[in-house]
Amino acid sequence: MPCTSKSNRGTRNWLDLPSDVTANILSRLGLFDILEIAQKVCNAWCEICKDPVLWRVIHVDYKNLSLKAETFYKQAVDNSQGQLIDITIENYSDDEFLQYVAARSRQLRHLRVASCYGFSCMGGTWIEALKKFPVLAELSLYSAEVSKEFIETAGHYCPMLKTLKLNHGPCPFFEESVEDCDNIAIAIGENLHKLEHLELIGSCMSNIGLGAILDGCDRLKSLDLRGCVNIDLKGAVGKRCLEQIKCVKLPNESLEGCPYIYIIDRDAYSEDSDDHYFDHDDADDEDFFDHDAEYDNFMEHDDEYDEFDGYFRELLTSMDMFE
Amino acid sequence: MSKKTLTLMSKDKQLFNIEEHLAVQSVTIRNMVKEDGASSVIPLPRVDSETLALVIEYLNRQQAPEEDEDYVKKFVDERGEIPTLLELAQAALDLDIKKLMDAACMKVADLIKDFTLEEVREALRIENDRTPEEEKAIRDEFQWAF
Repeated sequence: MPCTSKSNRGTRNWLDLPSDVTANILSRLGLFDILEIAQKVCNAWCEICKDPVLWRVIHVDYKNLSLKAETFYKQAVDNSQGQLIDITIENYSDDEFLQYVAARSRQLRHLRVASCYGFSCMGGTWIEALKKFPVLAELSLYSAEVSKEFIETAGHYCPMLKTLKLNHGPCPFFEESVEDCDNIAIAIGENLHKLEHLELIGSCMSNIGLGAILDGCDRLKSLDLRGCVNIDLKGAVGKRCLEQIKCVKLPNESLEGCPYIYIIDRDAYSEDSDDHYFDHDDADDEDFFDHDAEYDNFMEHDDEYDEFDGYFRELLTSMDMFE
Repeated sequence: MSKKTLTLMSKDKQLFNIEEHLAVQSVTIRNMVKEDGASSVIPLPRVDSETLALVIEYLNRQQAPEEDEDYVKKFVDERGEIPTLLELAQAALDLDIKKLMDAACMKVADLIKDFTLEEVREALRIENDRTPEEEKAIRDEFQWAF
């Protein structure tokens, strides 16, 4: 007679699980867990670990990793057998790896790249890489410097691009003038007509750039303008922006929950903003976000930028992202 | 008018009743109902009664759609033992209830993330069938990781 279900469970060898269940579980482990644990458990698991399905989403983090780690990440890309659809690269520092991905991942739909030191997408590597992602739907770059040519390439070679994020913190990693940022915004308006979601957190573009985006991207459902200190939504452009786009995040809105907003050089801040920072030092983290109203008032002052710095710094401290 | 009821049978021959409109959250059952009306008892030869009781509890939940995600998460969290979760995942696979299957697999993955190799083998009662040569081959391939 069969034993009771309970005692059955106690002795059941879970190797006879349907492989759909095993693969579903393993696909939720990180790269290192698959490499160091899962594929070594037994031969059956080793086989399942070779399934490209497990490698469609890859999260790469260059922090604290040796050069040999790159071999592993390349192995992960190889294992996807061209089926990679989603990659996040944190602490990006190596164009060669991007080239490696680009040469093997024509089905890539989501590309997110972040670096706390900032990185440039102005060079040929990035331009050439974009040409190899024909079905790219999301391009999210954090602390990246981009060029007009870069946007034009995306417009030409990535016709399915619906989400673009070019976000950075309040203190730019690159010398960017208002004019530079407006030119990028104009390029977006002229080339990326199918965009539905656009984030330009920390951009120093003016209403000229915003106007160009509104002219060219008439499918936009959401636009994130947080930290765009040169945008003034009080006039006609602002009115149009709020009418045309369903979900707009305003320049002075809280950055809570925003990923990869980095500040690199603590000493670069002025005495004034330090003072501001320490003023709030004794506030609880929870308390901090209640100060939004107070923060809104700050934005009315002439020295907006310093206040803004302080705001970012508090935010980051409260999110444990400093250091 | 009374609501139509279906009967599900576990592998240990226990019967469970459930209203049809709730049962069809399972794609497998939905297809059966579509094909032949599923008037008789639906046998589930791989699902034990303990697990089927859980599945029925899940299907009977009365959550507002916006709270459903949290409910599913809590539902699997409360059954934090790996064997229970694996039985649940397998039942959800057979019945094609994607949300439950994904949640159960996610929870198992969360639990084994912190395990060592030996702990994974022990928790899942899997014997290491790799030869020393195979182990070495993998070590050589990914030398940097050790």
